Amino acid sequence: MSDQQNQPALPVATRLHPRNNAGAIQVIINGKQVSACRGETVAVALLLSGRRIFTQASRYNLNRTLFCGMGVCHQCLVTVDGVRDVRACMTKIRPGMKIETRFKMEHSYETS
Amino acid sequence: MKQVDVAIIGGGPAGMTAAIELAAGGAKLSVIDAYPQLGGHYFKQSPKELMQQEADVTDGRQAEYRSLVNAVDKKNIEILSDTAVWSIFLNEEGTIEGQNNGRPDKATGFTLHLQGPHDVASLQARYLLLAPGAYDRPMAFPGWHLPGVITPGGAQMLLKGYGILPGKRVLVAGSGPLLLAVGAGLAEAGAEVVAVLDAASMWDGAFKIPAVFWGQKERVKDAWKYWSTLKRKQIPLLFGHAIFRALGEDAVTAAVYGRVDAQGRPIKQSEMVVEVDTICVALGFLPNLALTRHLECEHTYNATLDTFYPRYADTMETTVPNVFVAGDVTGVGGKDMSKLQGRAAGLSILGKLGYLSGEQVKSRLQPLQTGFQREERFIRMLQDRLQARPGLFEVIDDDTFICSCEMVTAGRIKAAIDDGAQDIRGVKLRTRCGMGACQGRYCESNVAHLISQATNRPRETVGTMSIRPPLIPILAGNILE
Ligand SMILES: Cc1cc2nc3c(=O)[nH]c(=O)nc-3n(C[C@H](O)[C@H](O)[C@H](O)COP(=O)(O)OP(=O)(O)OC[C@H]3O[C@@H](n4cnc5c(N)ncnc54)[C@H](O)[C@@H]3O)c2cc1C
Ligand code: FES
Repeated sequence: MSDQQNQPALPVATRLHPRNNAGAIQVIINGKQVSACRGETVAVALLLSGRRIFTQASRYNLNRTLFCGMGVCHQCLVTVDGVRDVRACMTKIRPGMKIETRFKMEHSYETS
Repeated sequence: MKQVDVAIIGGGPAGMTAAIELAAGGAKLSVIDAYPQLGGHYFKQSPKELMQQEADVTDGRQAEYRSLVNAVDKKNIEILSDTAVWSIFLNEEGTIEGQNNGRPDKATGFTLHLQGPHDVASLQARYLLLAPGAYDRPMAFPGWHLPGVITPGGAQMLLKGYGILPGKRVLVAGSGPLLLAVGAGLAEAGAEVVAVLDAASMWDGAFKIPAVFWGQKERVKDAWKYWSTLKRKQIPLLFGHAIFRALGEDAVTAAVYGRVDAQGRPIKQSEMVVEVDTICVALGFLPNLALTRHLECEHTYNATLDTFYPRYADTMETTVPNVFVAGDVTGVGGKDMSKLQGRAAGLSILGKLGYLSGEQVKSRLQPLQTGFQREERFIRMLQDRLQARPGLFEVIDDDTFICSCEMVTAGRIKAAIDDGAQDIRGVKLRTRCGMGACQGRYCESNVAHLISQATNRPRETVGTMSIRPPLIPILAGNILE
């Protein structure tokens, strides 16, 4: 329901420098292992894994993703290790972190 | 609970400079910053783990950064990085102990609540210095909610902070000096930048004040460097141009742009369409008022820039006793202004703590005046370039989202006004606009404009969004503690 198959084919963000393998860690995005780099944020891991949309509010089909990149706009909220509404752009990844995007799902503050 | 003389919130140029001054004077302090490394937006640093190589020592900005960090290190200043302040409370009388010139002294002070990787979940401080900087001022236009539209600050963060190129074909638009830097940065990094559009006309402000570039070697050098990059890569830098629309289904696929008049009104006949996957757009900056509003400092309205700022005295103290401000939060004055204000605030607080006499504070503030005057001249010129252009709002149609958090369109805001809403509060009650996760940080400027235009009332009378703790989404456990 909430994985990459549903993501439209979009150009993705790219890394400028080859990844430093010493810093490689695994995170789990929507149930799948994805390799990322220590020091990166949840937003960076999501973008590099090809997800350009972090949540989709079903009303109006409004797609949300990284916008301000610095913790102000709150458009990048995702679920991290079961905690909802975490700012992807301000949260550092940790090995084994479970990240869930909410593609095709209602946003929390929309229903509450 | 840990107690300090001063808590500095924000480790950018303003916060770092203040910290060095305060520590040199003998104060005990903590610097709290939400990013992984000190430096703020001007010295934007990568997280340690991602540092590619040794810093380039020939780069003047890096050299300046190193000297600030070395000074901070030498003074043993406590730095709480990756840590955000999510609320501040005024203490009850006499709860915090300190020294005033060697004499024991009890003060009221503040309790700060923090979220970060450190053990410190709260902190007591006798004085506060708020140096939280600024953020990109959003520009609303049809399609601006589409993924692929990002702020220049966001693009710069990805690029400089994380070595990520956010898109392949990019249009940069809006107003202000950051556009040039971001356009050049993206192009250097390999993106195809189709154009950089600035709503201001080429000469707006630039030569009104003859001596404006005096003492601005660094700024001129930077601008020249960015401009040469655009020239070399044959990227058009178009003044008097703005974006009208972003097109796309799930994300941006194209942008419509064209010429605007001096007021920012779109000139329809000049419309052009370009295919792009990314649009970087903002109208300069908004000061980050979350903390000053939370603490109920008084704010004043600047009509040229169409923004509020906290009121402050020459000592940098706000209208709330013992709360000081410095840096871009006071009016987006740039790095040098931020450093000057940081020093001034540091000296004033040292005076309050009794480490300096009133005379000493005065005589040390005096030599900063030439710098302040030089920076103010430049800022006045920038203000002309960044002035609010009401015509830019004309592209907004009824389906344009104004509040993305609560998904409120301009059409619904108009309906609320027709229904009798006279101010932000009235619109909020009827539409939930501004009641979402960002607490109105990203819709306030646009909603206010729509209301003031429709009701024919000055901006400063239509109200503001209220900021409530937690200032950021925090883990429930932290509140309960
Ligand atoms: C996005 C952006 C990009 C810029 N790029 C350039 C450029 O390329 N060239 C140039 O000359 N000028 C640039 N500027 C302007 C320049 O960065 C500023 O003039 C200067 O950095 C201001 O310094 P400051 O100390 O006031 O705040 P900043 O440098 O903005 O630092 C503020 C700090 O406060 C922290 N903070 C804010 N709120 C909290 C909180 N609640 N809890 C904890 N920490 C918090 C932030 O993490 C940040 O590190 C840019 C400004 C912005 C906003
Ligand atoms: S992108 Fe704006 S808060 Fe994360």
